[in-house]
Amino acid sequence: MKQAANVLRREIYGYFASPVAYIFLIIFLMLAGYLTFVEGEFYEGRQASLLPFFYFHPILYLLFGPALSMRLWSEERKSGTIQLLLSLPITIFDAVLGKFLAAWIFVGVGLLLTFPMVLTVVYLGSPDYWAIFCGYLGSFLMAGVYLAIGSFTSALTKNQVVSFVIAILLSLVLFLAGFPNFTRQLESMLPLSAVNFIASFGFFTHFLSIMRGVIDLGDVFYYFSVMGLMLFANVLVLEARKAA
Amino acid sequence: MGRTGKTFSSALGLLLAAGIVIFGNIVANRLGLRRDMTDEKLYTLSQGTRNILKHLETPVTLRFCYSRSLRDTPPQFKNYAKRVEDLLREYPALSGGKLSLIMSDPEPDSEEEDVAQRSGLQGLPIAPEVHFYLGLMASGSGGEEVIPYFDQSRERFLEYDITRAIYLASQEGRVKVGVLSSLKLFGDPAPNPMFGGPPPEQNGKPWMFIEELKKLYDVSEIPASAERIEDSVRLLVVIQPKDLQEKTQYAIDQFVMSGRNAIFFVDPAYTNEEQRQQFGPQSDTSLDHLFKAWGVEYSAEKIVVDSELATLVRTHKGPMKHPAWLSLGEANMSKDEVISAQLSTVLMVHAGSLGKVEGVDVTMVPLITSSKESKSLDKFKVSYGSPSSLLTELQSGTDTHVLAALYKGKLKSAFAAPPAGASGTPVKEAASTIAVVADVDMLVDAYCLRPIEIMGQVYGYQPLNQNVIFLNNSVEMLTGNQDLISLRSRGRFTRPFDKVLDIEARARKEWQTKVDEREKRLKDIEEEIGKHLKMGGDGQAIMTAEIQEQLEKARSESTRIRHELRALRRQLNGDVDTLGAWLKFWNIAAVPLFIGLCGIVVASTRSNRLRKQEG
Repeated sequence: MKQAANVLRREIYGYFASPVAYIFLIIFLMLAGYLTFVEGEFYEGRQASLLPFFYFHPILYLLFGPALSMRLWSEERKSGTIQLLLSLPITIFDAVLGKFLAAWIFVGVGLLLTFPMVLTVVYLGSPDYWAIFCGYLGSFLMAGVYLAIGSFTSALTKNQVVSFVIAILLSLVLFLAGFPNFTRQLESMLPLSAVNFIASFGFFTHFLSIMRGVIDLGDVFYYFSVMGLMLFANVLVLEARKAA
Repeated sequence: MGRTGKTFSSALGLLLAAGIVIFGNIVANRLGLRRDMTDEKLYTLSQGTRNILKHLETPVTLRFCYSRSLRDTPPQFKNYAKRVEDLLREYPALSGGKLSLIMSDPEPDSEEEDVAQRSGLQGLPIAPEVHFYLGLMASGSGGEEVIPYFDQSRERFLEYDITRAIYLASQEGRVKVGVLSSLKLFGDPAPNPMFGGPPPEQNGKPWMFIEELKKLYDVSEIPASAERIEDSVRLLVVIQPKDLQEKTQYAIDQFVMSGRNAIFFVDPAYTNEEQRQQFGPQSDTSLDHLFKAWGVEYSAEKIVVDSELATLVRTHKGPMKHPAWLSLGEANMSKDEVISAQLSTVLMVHAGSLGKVEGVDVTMVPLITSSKESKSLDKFKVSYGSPSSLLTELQSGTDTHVLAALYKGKLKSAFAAPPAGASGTPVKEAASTIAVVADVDMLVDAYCLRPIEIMGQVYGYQPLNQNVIFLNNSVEMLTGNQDLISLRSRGRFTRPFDKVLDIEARARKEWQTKVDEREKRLKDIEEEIGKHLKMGGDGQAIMTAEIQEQLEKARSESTRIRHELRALRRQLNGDVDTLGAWLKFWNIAAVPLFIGLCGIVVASTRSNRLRKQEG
């Protein structure tokens, strides 16, 4: 675990030393603001609630999750530093966990920087603070899943673009599985119970409740279990590479 | 282990992990362990709803019709639709598989729109040929129950409305309502107003509220001498009974003790003018025994007078405000009860006051109360006193009085043993709800409806107030079971932008007078122009130069004012729009700009450091 913390520290430092991270944060924040105010019609809706803000997060992460995580392992593999990293006295699991946590914390910083949204609703009306807290919690957990998927696909290939594309495809499957517009289409083709089963693996399905202020054990379990599965797969892929 | 063996065991491990994840998710979802963190517990269904869903015997299908794909739907509508959808999604999980929810999007000219229209859903026209739908159809063994449109003003009763639709859709057959009264509510084939017949204004016809009830329920008349009330009757409405025999009292008592609900309309001075002139104010005490046992405190000897709610009535001295005629408004209605929350005009005449008998374990929930400026006076004083003398009485010692209330809880029987001639053992206690209304006049046609007459023929009725709606609401609520009744008003989902509302109110205050002034001036000028044009004739006569000049002047003045009005209207929204633009800037650009600056500072510090190191 101590080793994982070292990797995490090194990675976090790496993020803020590169201009890419700043550009990343700028685009993330501008897009989040734009989607909330323009597409979500936050101001026109006149409700002191962050639902129009959170509603776009699954879509936002669909782009940012793979983009942020594509370099986690591909870059190390391409530049050969992976050999160096794996020759250090740390386990693959520690390395995977450290890198993943660093990326997750980075997204957390991005989320924290959306604080003007909270100030806005507090200024305009009297929002439900617990609901806002739950929204942020849910968004952070969901980001973790996107990043875990990206981390896994990044370990599969040396090419960052390939990793990005595979991560987007995998994420898209889980995104669509719970996306209400898509599940409604499915309803006309499949029996309701089958649609519900498919939807139960979707990001949206597990984000809808927590975004509104309802914490469901099933939702929290979903996020952590999918994250765990992806990171486990990540470790297995790296172990296979190491052995090769 | 060789490389192939290792790969195989890795793949097996991954498969196993995936299996655990899938199985674990299924189990975790089924557990239903959740915590609603919202202030108002918006997404937690009440115990009453849970009970109804748990005890559904036949399947019920909910079809939620929402015009999701319509473009340009106002965001407020979308927000509310989302709220309704969120709440609806909570239902199926609690029904043990008996309830299914179908989402429907009735697009214009689609088959789904036809279905919605056929079922009686109301589309809100938002463009030519385009309707916005937001309603619900619940179908089950009891037929189809429809919520034609989810009106946001009923948001606090959203759960009640949905649960009621599900409950009714699952119940077979029409609900039977029994009405017991000494008045000829169902009409009298040979009216004789001299001897206790129906009031002359009813003319021997059934009372209109009975006709209204018949549209929704299977209404049957129960004779005032009944010794037993049928098991099929779901709700009993007792209206001003007179000299009830003990056996009938016992039948009413045991009806309530069977866990069914009842509504009582009683009046200390039922104002049937002819009767009053001949026999004095009518009142009766035959329900006293029952009321006392159920915790209802009511005196047939007192009438509530209220100076704030006094109604203008015609007297032989001309129109006067009469404090015993109560014009009740929104402030007098309980906002937490489905029956009264949305009422704003109810008329009561010579109403009594209600209370709770000390020591009886029931809950009294007021529905309608008088203002603080009211008093309960002796009925003879009110019946024979002049309005002005009553108003003098109201100058001191006033208080609020309850005029209608619900009594809920474990009601106790008024009978220890059956009365002579009745058989069986009385049920001693039951969870029931009764509504007591201390006025009967409010149901008289003349006090609640105005006939629409053409050439002496009555073509329909126009409501004078919401008295009939009050009765309908009461019957609707009390025909439900105790679980349905337990559903009270819920928290509000809406959290408006108070800041924006303040700005708008301020702007209106500041600019509205100017807008009004200019609108009035514009109207005057337009009238002036019209006059000039008339003077100029219909094109045949030639306008004098003077008229033409005045006309030109008026026209240019009108254009100027229109410009000013446009500018003023912009001002009205100006501050709100400016605030919106600023907020957009702060949220979209401010932090990114700051981060950009930080990035530049960090980068330049680092390159300086590097340069120094290299130097």
